[in-house]
Amino acid sequence: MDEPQQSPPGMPNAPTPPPGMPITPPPTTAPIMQPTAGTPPPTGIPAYPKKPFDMRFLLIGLIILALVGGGIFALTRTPPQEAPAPTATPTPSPTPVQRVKVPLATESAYLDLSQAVASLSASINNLQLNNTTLIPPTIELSLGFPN
Amino acid sequence: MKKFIGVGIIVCALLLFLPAKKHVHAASPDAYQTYLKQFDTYRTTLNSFKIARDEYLKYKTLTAEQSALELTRNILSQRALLLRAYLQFLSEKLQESLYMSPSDKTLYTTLITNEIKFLEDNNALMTSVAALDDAEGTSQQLTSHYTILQSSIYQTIVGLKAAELGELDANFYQLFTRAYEMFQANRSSYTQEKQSTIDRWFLQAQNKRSLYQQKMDAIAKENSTLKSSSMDEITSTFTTIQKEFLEARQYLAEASTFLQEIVSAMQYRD
Repeated sequence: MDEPQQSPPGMPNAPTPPPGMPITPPPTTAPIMQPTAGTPPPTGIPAYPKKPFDMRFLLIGLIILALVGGGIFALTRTPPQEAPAPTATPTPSPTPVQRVKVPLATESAYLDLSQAVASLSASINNLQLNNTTLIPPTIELSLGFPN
Repeated sequence: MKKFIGVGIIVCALLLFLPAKKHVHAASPDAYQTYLKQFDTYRTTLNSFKIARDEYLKYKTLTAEQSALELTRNILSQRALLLRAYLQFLSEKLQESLYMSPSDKTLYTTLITNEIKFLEDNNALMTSVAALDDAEGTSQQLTSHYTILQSSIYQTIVGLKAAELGELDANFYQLFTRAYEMFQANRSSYTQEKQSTIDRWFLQAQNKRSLYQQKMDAIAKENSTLKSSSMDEITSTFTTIQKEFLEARQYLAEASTFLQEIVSAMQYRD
């Protein structure tokens, strides 16, 4: 024997069937509605009437974006560092050496001597002591015939 | 017309009596070229001789022997001519050396002349060479004399190099003396401190020249003992002398640099 089902608390109890009638559980899903004969089956979702996109909204959006972006950039931008202006530092100028020349320095004899000494130094440094032209010839002394 | 002819005659006469410019011709470059040509001929002959000799030693035929004999005569002759050409070149260099002392020049010229005579005598023997044994004997003469020949050559080379340095030293001494005399004549133009500085610098330059002279004396001493019994010893002594020449040149260069500084300092009072 099936016992009558108890309703959950707070919910009204279902009407009890009359005695002698079998109790059948209610269908969990609704039965599929069969197409009625004579009516054509629906072909698809009916087309939604499209509204044309208003370009003005895009323009306004872009302007707002540019304004907001520009504002943020202006706020966060750091000012460029300026190079410090060079300041002139006073440099001490060398004390001019006043070397007094003797009268001899302008005489032709001294100038000739100076030139001759410079020429001699160059001659000494340019002297080729390893003169290859003076190397004696290498000859074969043995004729190579057995005695 | 007669005037023009007269002037022409006078001009021609003047030109004739003008002292002719002395044409100085250095003979050593020509002698060197001759020596180089002779060296080429020697090398070519040596190659032919080696081929003929090897052929003879391999086959021992009469034809090969005759060919080897002819080429042996030829190589002995070319060898003597090569050495002679080289000695002639050295002789020309000796004659051109202006700063070699007359005694040294005579000594080295005698050495070279003796060696040339030996080679000429040796070359004259070639005509009498009739067999390979004779050729060996003639060659042996030169081989046994070769050490003396080499020592004469090296002694002459050292003498030539010493003369080259001697010329520069003589030039240095002349300039040193001129600078010293000039300084002494103008001594009062300089401060006391400058005078003592320049005096000290003159001494330092003189010391450098003394070191140069010591080195040259050592070279002269070693050169006189170059007559050795072995070729290795001669070559070793010659190498030592070469190094000493470089050191002597360095001392002279330093002395010359000091003199340059002195002359430069002489233009200022302090």
